[in-house]
Amino acid sequence: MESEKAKILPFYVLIDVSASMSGDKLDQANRIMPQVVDALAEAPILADKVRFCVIDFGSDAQVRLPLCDVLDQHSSLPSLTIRGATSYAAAFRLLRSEIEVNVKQLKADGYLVHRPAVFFISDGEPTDPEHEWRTAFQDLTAGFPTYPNFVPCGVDSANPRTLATLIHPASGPKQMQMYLMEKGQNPADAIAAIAEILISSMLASGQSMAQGSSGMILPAKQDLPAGISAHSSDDFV
Amino acid sequence: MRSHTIGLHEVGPLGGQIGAGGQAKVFLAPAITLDDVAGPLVYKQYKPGHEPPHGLSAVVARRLRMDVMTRSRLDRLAAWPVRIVEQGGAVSGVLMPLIPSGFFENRVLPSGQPKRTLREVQHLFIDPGRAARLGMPAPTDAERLTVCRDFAAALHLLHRNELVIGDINAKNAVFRLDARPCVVIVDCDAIRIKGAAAVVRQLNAPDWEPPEDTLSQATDLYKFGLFVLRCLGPGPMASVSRDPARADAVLAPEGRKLLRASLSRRPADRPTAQDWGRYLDGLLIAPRRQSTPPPPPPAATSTPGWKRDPRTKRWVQAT
Repeated sequence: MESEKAKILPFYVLIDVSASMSGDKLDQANRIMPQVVDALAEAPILADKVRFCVIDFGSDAQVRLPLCDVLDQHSSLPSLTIRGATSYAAAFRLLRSEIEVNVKQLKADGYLVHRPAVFFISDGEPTDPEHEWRTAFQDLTAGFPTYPNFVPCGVDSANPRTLATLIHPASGPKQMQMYLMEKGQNPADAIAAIAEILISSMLASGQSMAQGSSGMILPAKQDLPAGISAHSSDDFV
Repeated sequence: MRSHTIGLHEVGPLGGQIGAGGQAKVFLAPAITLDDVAGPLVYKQYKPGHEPPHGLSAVVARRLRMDVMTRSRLDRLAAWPVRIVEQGGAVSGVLMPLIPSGFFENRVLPSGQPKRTLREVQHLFIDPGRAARLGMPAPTDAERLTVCRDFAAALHLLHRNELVIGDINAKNAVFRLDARPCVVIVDCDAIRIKGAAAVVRQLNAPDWEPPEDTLSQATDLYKFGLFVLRCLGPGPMASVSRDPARADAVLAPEGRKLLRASLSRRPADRPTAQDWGRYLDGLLIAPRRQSTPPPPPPAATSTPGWKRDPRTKRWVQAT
């Protein structure tokens, strides 16, 4: 009976906590973590497959829930609070360093590690200079062996054209998608819908993980919740 | 002779939706009763493009041809498709017995939200302390052995009737602890009659792949070995483990030997479900003599309907 190495999917959620997120949007964002925990409590063997991390970003970026088995967490989940501007660059840099450290740690602990999955949720344009966040994104995705599958999600005033450039991989058999709030929707409801997509992706990815699979599955378009549309990178030129 | 196919109009008005998966939705079907099915029925409606090709009728017909005793045993061990439902000459779904309420757990999720959860066997594989903390039962070793024993009995009945389960996995069987049999096999439309092609292409769930490519009764026995190992050796990474030593503490030397043989790469080495049943019976009989008699069967309860709220997609009780 050959012993197999267990395979882990690190799942990162990056949440915008800039000033514009205050109110209902932040309340919904704060519901994401308990919902993830509930979803795993109903499918508890996925805790053998998925590790979850939350990073928030405003003027700076902070790890709010270090990559962990959330069912193992006895302490209460962190509460997100508003912190100024919208630095995409800070978010991308911190994510890159976390992924690097986390993957190294998981491998040292004897696990095989799937390509990390990232849901990036923002309600506005980056406030840092374009060349800065573009360089940070380049460092995260190109020439970084453990680059993540990156799924941008936009609500409210997020710019679809900006977010579309963050879909990674943007093409090929394992291309990712972008999720956008449809016009006229309530942004807080859109965040709740994105949480639903994120959870269904986490469950499907964890359940399907097997040798050779990509480790990141997004829901089919017909299964998306109301008020959200899915786009690929060539939808916005 | 009964027809194994009925029209959708005969099913009558559907009740609340109680489940949804990638290939089908499940609704209560309160308006129809069948002479050969004891309890309430549900209608499993395949999503367009996911209707199984012909062959399902053989699985339905196999049950109808069984003698009454065997059929009632089958119905207690498996949520078997009892009728094919057609609409406009095409298969739209199947009728199946409703899974009894004893196989559900009323629990509170970590967020505080109450939830009625089907007791899939995956809940047996996690650390018992964690299961209890998450509001699920944390069975004792003896209860786990009983679950294995009843699973072996279900598998034996199916194998004796020339059937192949194919996709045994963490979600395709459900358990209870307060009545026997304590295991029911669900999602039976993937079952295959030995010697015939599968209704739905038989697949291996991740972490349940047998050594050989073709699914047969021998791969069922391998997967049953994985079930025993993961049920008797719960904890971190049990759900993906294939190391029989995990269950050594619970199994006497003979059981350890059976488990290692079940996980053999050579199909011919694997013990039958009946071998397992006899061994587990032997383990269970001794302690049971000293214990108090089993409680009377619970009074029949009506199973409340559950449906998905279309907006939140959460399960809510249909009133």
